[in-house]
Amino acid sequence: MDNQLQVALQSIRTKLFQFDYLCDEQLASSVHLAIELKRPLLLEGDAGVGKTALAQALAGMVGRPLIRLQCFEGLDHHDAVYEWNYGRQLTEIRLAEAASQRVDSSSIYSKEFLIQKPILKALQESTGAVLLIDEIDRSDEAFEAYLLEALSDYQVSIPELGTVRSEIIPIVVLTSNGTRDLSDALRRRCLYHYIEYPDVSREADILRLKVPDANRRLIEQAAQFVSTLRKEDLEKKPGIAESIDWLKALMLCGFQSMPDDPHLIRGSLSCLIKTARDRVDVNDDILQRLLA
Amino acid sequence: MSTTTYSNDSLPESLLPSERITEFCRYLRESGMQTTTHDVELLTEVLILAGGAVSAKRVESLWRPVVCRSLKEWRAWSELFQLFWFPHKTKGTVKVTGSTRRSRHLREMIERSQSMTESGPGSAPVVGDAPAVSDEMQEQDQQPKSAGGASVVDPLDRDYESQWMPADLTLLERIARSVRTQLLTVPTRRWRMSDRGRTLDLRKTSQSMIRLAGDGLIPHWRAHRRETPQIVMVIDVSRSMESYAAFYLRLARAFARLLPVRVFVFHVRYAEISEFLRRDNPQIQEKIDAVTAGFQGGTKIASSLKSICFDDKAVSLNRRTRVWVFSDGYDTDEPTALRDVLKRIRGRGATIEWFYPNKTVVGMSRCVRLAHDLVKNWYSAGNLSEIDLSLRQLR
Repeated sequence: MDNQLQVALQSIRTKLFQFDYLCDEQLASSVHLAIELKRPLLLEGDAGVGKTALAQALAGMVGRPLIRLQCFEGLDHHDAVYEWNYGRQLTEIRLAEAASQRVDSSSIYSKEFLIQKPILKALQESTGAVLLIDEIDRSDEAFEAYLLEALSDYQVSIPELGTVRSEIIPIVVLTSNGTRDLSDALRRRCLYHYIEYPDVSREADILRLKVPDANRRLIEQAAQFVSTLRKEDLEKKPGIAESIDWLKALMLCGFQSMPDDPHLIRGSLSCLIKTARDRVDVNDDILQRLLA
Repeated sequence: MSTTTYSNDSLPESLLPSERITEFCRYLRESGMQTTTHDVELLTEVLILAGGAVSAKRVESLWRPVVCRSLKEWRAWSELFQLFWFPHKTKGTVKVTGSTRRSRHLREMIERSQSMTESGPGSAPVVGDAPAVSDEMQEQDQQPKSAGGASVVDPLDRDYESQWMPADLTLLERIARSVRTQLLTVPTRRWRMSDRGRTLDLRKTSQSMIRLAGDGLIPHWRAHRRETPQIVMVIDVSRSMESYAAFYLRLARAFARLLPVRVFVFHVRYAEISEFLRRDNPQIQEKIDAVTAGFQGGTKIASSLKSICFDDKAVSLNRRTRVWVFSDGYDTDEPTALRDVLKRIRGRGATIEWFYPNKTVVGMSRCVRLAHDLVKNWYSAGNLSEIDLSLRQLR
């Protein structure tokens, strides 16, 4: 029976790989459980480790549309769930008045006049969907509480219409950068996965996948360099996206392997180092050590 | 579940299924994880889903996303799983250090406390395991302080040395979290859309009228954006504060992780350590150790506060700013200098609160007595329970 599970996990890894996402076994297990147990998957990790990319690859893997809700401070259910199309409702009332007809409130507050926002759209999607609730930690606590019903029962309550239930439960992926603590209630409803920075060999594999034209030796050296750089005391550690950008920049500079002289790569380091203080801290001595 | 079988290197058969899983959940709960009875059902469901004969390694990776809810739990999971299901595989370690005398360096204190924690609860530091105090200092403390310095009394009624690394900050974070909730948020001039607001946003409401061709309107409400006060923690790390500085730094670390706090340390010079405190990097221990190194005498509270608040890279002082001074009031500046600088800080609208390790404010230095009325609140902060109690009174 372990083999069946092994096959299922391997299948997830292969399919995600087809969508340019390299997934380790633990992450494959989390994805497998999220699909099978029909529970939302909460992904945490530093910026740029591939949380959003996983949701995108997952949508490709299961062949469902990706519906994305980008969270921000002040986000409410009008932006996230539904809104009434007041303009159309008024037009309908005017037309009815012109024809001397009585307007029934139930006809005004029907699905015809409902503007579906990402969460409702995901619940109503006939083929099922992958709902990505990105950076949930940026939203207010009140919105987080509002999400609980949608995430636990896959339904939303619209006072004028009643409860809208999902026919095909969407695969829900929430991401968080940990800028604030999420409530226990939300965490309890989700499966949890923390995405760490990849190790050198895995990062090299990712770079090879994303920048196939790069020299093999350059890829390995770049992966090693970035991995060592992350161990330095930096304000903002470079993510995988930064590594990919840097590798592309090195290729543009015409490098086939990493140069010994730190001055030659200093210009391209703006792809990796994103704060002024880190720029000062990573001096030539440190660069020399990293290159060595 | 009775049909579930386990392959080689799988969980021991006698230990299964649901009773043992319940025990496992209880063990996790005792280890600080927030497992519920629902988790027992889920873990069982996962096993059924896995098909029964699965290796322990596989069970470990399948149960992990179900049970863990935070990074701390995620990192602790493998060890807890192994300890419960395979206790015989767990090996003990013995650490021997060459030093028999306690150092006052922060890093070594942390290493010592961690090794004590690793060696099990039985060998946890005894109550009041304070940072080492030199013999010279102990002798000095027999004599009365001329300028109101803190007497070296045990600042602790609990083990705090293990409360340094992010995963171990639980106790102090609890205090910081309660402070965050109890601090009154200050309304700013900025607005934010809010259904519960009481002011009509005329621009948005008129726009809605245009959208509806003048036939109606959708009221849009707004409220003042409220922000948590900006806290400036100024911690005295001079020699007279040696016993308390490490404790206050830990407290500052817990606050820095949850609140918008700027943390400064000073003796005769000052340095900002806010960024160090927010990072989850072992190297920060060395950096903070370097910053606080020396624990020099000759504290300059007034000069340091002046530099922190008014020199270049100064903090922005306004009515949202709360300056928290952690000091025993031992000051080698001119006695009136502290009063002058506190008056300037108050002039910018900031609130000053003073946390002192001394027994009473009355016994503190002359400069403190002169500046007494400029400080909004005086809080006793000689040990963890005192500071907990003091912070509860914050408004």
